[in-house]
Amino acid sequence: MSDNKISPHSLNDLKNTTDDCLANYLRSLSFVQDNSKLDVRLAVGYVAVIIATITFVADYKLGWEATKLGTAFAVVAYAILNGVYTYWMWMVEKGLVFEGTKGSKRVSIASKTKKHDPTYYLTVTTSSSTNPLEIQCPFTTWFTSDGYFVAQPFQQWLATSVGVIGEADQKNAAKNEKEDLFVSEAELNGTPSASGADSGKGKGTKRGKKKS
Amino acid sequence: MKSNPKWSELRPEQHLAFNAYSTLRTTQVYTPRPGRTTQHGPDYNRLSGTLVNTTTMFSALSSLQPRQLAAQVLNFALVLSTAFMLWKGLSVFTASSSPIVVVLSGSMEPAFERGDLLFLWNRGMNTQVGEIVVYNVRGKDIPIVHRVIRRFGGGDAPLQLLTKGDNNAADDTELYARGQSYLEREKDVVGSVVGFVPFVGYVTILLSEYPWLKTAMLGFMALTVVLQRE
Repeated sequence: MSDNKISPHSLNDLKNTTDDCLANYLRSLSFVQDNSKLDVRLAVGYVAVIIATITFVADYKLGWEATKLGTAFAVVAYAILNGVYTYWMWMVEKGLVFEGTKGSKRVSIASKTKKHDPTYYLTVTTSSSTNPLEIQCPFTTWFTSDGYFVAQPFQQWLATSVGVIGEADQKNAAKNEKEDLFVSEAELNGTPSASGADSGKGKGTKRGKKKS
Repeated sequence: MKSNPKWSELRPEQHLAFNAYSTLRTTQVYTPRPGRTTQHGPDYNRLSGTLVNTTTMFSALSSLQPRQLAAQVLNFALVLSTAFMLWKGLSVFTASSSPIVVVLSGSMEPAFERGDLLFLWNRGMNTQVGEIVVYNVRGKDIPIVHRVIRRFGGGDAPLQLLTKGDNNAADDTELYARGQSYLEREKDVVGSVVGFVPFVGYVTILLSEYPWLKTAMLGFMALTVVLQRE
């Protein structure tokens, strides 16, 4: 996905592309991905769909009178499964993007965005600390104004903010102190901690800098 | 130039410019200039733009992880199956095979008109004279909505009904199957009308009278659900 151009005005596109790149990045750092939560959701969802399909076929072939009772049970079962599915998605996964282990270290990352706020919010839970780490960064840090994803500043942000990733990717974690080709000194200091109000202007200021 | 003049109103030098422009068009891809609209031929630029867009969408879809693809397909399947199961749930709740019907004819005017949406209830089996019921004629699968004008039996004996459209001159004996002169409440009636929304059902009349609309709508829905990630 990273080589595809996206619309930088679509928050969905920004988030989905970044999510994909986040997972790719961690896999490339030889984190072993654990998909069990997604698998549970898929299983529940597909069982529900299969129940609906069977109901549909039975209704189509046998008619209403013959399938009345079965349909009643199917409707109840479907409602329960759908409830479980929704619960799992909102209460268990909570925007989970990547869960995996490297050696004895376990990391689980959930992402979210807020409406009309081009900032990427991450909740990082690691095995080493009990409190989840909340970090955020404007999308403009790793998206060009015409919608291309640039991996380097993104990976650097993760490597410097999350200890477990930093340990796995020493190169990017160390780059923070040195001069950088992609991100200017001012941006490095300013943007990662920028508040939501500031981040909206990110694109404009970037353009201004290029011209000067 | 800006206000899109007709060609005949142009001055000679602009005609010249146009000629040069049109010879160019044969050799290279035509791109419309900003502030000027063309009145001949399709907008190729826009057309190719959409094509490029859909191909990138499809390639985005194929580059998904297998699990993500499965989740994406599941999203779409859940939309369809939830709609179907909601309908079936309503069927179970009302005990009617089709709890919502659309009036197709004017035989019940002025009570109901073509396109009205009717809500049915099939749990009160003791149907009274004056109630409006939807029934299926034996052997034909066409639901008809008419008013009960006479009832026979009831209690221990099976309830039988005679119906008539408010706007019809005669009762429904003509409409019933050959040899049938009344409806059996249990077998023939789909439900009694308990509520209606005027005119909303016209959409379904349009969809059933122009089947390609249905195909187009379904295709469009499928595309948007599959290609958009939430």
